[in-house]
Amino acid sequence: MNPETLITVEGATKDYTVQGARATLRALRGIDLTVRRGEVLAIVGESGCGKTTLSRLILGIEEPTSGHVSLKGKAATGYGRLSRAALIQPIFQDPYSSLNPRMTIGQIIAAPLVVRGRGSRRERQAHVMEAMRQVGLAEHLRNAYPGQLSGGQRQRVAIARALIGEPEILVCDEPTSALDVSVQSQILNLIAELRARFSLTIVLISHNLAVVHHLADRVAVMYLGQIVESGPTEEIFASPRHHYTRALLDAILVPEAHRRLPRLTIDAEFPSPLAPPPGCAFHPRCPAADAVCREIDPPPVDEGDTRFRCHHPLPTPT
Amino acid sequence: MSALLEVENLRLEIATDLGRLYPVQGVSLTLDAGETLAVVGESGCGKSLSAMAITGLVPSRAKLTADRIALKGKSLLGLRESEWRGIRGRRIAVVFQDPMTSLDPCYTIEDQMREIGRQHLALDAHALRARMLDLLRRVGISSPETRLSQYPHQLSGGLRQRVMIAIALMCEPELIIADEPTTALDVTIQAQVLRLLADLQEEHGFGLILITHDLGVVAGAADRIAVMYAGQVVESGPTDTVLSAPAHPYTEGLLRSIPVPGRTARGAPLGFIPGVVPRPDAPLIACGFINRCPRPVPACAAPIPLMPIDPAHAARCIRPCIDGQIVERHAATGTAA
Repeated sequence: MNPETLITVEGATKDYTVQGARATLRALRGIDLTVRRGEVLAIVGESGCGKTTLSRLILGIEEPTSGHVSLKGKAATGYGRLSRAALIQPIFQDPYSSLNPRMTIGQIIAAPLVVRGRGSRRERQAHVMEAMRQVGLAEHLRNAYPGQLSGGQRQRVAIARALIGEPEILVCDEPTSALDVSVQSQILNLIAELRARFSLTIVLISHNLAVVHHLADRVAVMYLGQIVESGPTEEIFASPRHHYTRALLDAILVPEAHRRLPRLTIDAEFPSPLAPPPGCAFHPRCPAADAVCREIDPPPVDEGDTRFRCHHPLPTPT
Repeated sequence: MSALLEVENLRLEIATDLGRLYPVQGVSLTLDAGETLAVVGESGCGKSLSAMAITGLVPSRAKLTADRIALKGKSLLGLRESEWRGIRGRRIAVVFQDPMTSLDPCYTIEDQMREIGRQHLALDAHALRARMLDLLRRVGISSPETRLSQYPHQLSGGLRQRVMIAIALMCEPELIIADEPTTALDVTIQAQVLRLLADLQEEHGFGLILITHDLGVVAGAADRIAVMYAGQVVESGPTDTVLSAPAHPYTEGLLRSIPVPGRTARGAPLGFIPGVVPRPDAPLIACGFINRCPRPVPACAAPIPLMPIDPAHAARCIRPCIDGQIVERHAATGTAA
């Protein structure tokens, strides 16, 4: 039996009016996506591709302009504040701005319980200690303020706060990008460990493909408001079908001896999301683009577990 | 023949309201013309402060001392501000991480490029404009006439960084210091900007100091690496040597903590470095890494010098890893114990 689908996104678009209502920015242009229970889905893409907008729809912070986003079969925006918080929690990139500087670590982590009126003071205290232990924070930090903690410790606080209400889904938006290298790996290890222990479902938003490869079961590659390729991580990394995915993989800089800088086969400039190119949005940068690509937006094609949008997909190795 | 840049025993002391800080504690670097040196380290290790000190830019209330800072054999120590003006921007150019804050939002690209040209180059208006257009073309900007009349906010991050590089090249500098030049950029743009710097270096022969926290950036882009930790260089050597055979436990720990597709097992725990960096509130009287080190010994509780492993490779460690073996050395002599 297939595991239960927790997140369903169907034909979701999101428009924002910008420049004083003089223009419409279509941040998402028809997203279809499902995430099953226990799965880690990574959303990758460059800035402006819409990955954070998509995460906001999944979190129910914003309503799609058209299409549907549902969590466990119910519209993401249809939940009450508390019931949604019990189901899905965000972890943000910057642990310097996502924690209230005037609350102690203990207060920050307990806040979700306080809001829900759960437990007595003493029970909450015990719960906070347990959460701190799970994320590897020393007990005495309970009375410290965020300003007294290192970046890695703060991200642990954010994770403890997200987990204390026992949510089923975590949405991690670049959870390690603001951290130093030696600390990043500890947070990645923690996320992997907690995921296994609590069978969490995770939506991981990242531009770091090495991190994505390490943690994710499935990958969705976004470009200019569309998912241009999605599928199992191993398959996407071994044989990408979309030229943009290929370029992202080529651009990974690996700390190994005898590496040379990659020469990418794509052009430099990301087009303005205010005026996406006609046809395939990627065609101005694509080495394989021809007349068809300039006119017709490629429909999604399914091959095995992989889905891509390209008129001239890269061959699979035989 | 002297090196393009020599830095010996650079120290910075900063008086703050909360006491004295020692963010740079005896950094020595050399760089030849046409060479790229990557200065690698995590936030607060002193890499940017060290590099900026080379250009005479230090925080207010900072005291800089060094045995030597010299460009082509000529000392840069104790120069007056008026003398610096003939060097900064002209012989030494800097490219910063965030081109949105290092370009002035109120002036067009042309204004900002012309400013540098007028300061340092004896060109008439026509020749100067021709030079600006030529430089923008060389950094891969396809419609330079349009770009010249635009303001920084009208350009993408990648374009702004290309403009910064073009500005750095205005006076054909001998040395370019690039401080995290690609950290704010998207991955595909990052690869292209690094490639651009390498191509331009080949063409112009400038020395390049690349300051970065990203060992992946180093791998393709630098000839040599200096790894900094707690205000000191803890390991230096040719890029390939340091990446394939790190001698210092800090370098080793960093490399083990980075996931590499195809090499690290997916989902398996990554290596990490326990503990935190020491506060820079006192000069180090022991190895700065002692509290986080997997193999400390009592002798580590004394200042450790940077000791050669071979003529090109050195580590500030009395128990470095050489050819896969932990080797014991004497701090005083740097020889095997």
